[in-house]
Amino acid sequence: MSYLDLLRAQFNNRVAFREKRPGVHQLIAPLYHEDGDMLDIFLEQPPGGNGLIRVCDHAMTLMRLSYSFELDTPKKEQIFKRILDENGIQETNGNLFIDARPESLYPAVLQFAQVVSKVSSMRLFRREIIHSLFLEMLDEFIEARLAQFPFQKPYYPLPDQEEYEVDYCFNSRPKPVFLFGVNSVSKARLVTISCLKFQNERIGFRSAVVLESLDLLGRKDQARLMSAADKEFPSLDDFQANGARFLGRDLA
Amino acid sequence: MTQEEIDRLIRCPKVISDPPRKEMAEDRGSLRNSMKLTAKEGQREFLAFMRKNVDFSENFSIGLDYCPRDGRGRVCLLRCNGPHGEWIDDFHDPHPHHGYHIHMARPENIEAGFRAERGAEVTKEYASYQEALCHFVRLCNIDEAVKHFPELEQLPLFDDLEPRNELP
Repeated sequence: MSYLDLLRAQFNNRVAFREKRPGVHQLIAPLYHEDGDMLDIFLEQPPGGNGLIRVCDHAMTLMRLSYSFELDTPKKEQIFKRILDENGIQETNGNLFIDARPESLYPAVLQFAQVVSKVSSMRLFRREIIHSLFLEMLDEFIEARLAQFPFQKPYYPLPDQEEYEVDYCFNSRPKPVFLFGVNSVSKARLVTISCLKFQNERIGFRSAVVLESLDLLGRKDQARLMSAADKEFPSLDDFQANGARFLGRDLA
Repeated sequence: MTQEEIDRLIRCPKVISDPPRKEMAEDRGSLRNSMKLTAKEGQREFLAFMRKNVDFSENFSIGLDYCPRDGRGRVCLLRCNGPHGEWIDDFHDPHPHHGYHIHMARPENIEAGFRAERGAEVTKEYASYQEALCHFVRLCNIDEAVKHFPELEQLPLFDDLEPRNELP
């Protein structure tokens, strides 16, 4: 019995194979991506053979991922490698693969299919999704850990001018603290304009900014924001570590 | 998005605002290229990507993403694929198809929270990567594409055939 017949039998005859190239067989199985395309899984003899069968994707998973997401930072590579390592999958020049004995092909194929899905889901780490998570996490922290400092959210210091919005106003004292979460260049510029406007209108306040990350802004935007705001936390981690002490000092 | 809006975004005349590389670049087993597009009217922004698998050149994809400026996130409007494998339209009643196919955004997908371009239709508009690129450029109304893709200048084999540029 060939390894293909064996695998077909292991799948209870619910799969088929199509010879993509001599010696390379594509698995036709009801395993689909979210767009309806079938998972690209191939079976072939690995170099050296040794009686093993290679389950691989011929770099199709990373090609598909690259439509909307690139592994272009050390952190992304780290996550990618971790997914592979934790699932016993290897990668050479984009080709994801696992070598298995013929009698273990069934669990190997299912394991491989899971990894293809997990790697493909990395597109959900896209910047616009991470950006929105930052504001949620900031909100969760303030609600859960800074409740001892009464606040309003959002807050509009200027009557009838709702275009100047403050994310959080800690107003337990005559001179409130206006806090802003900044996760984009456009938000940074808006905060800069707002702080300068409030200063122009002679509103008594102190301003604090929590950045999603230090490398979010270019040099000029960073300089303008630092000039307009009184305090800048370079990350959510820093705000979580030092925010309560800052507010306690400023609102005392 | 309505179907009219999707069709309008695909069909609106576009200029290339950030051109593609002269040659596709190989990266981890696939050849890759991309270009940014801007609508001639209204300043809408798009990203077009081209991918071709190194091992299997018939496994390619040429896609158009719409990039809204309000940070909502990219939406795939259109993807012209080669015959990489099978695909289905309905996960609950799957009837797999095989061949050259086009994924296109549908309002019912967006409304249901599915991938916008879930499902696809078989196409006879192209039978190679080059023909798919030609079809894509025509469908998306990309101005002066031949400047960046000289292969588009090749004459069709049969002069008497009308160029087809209907949306599937």
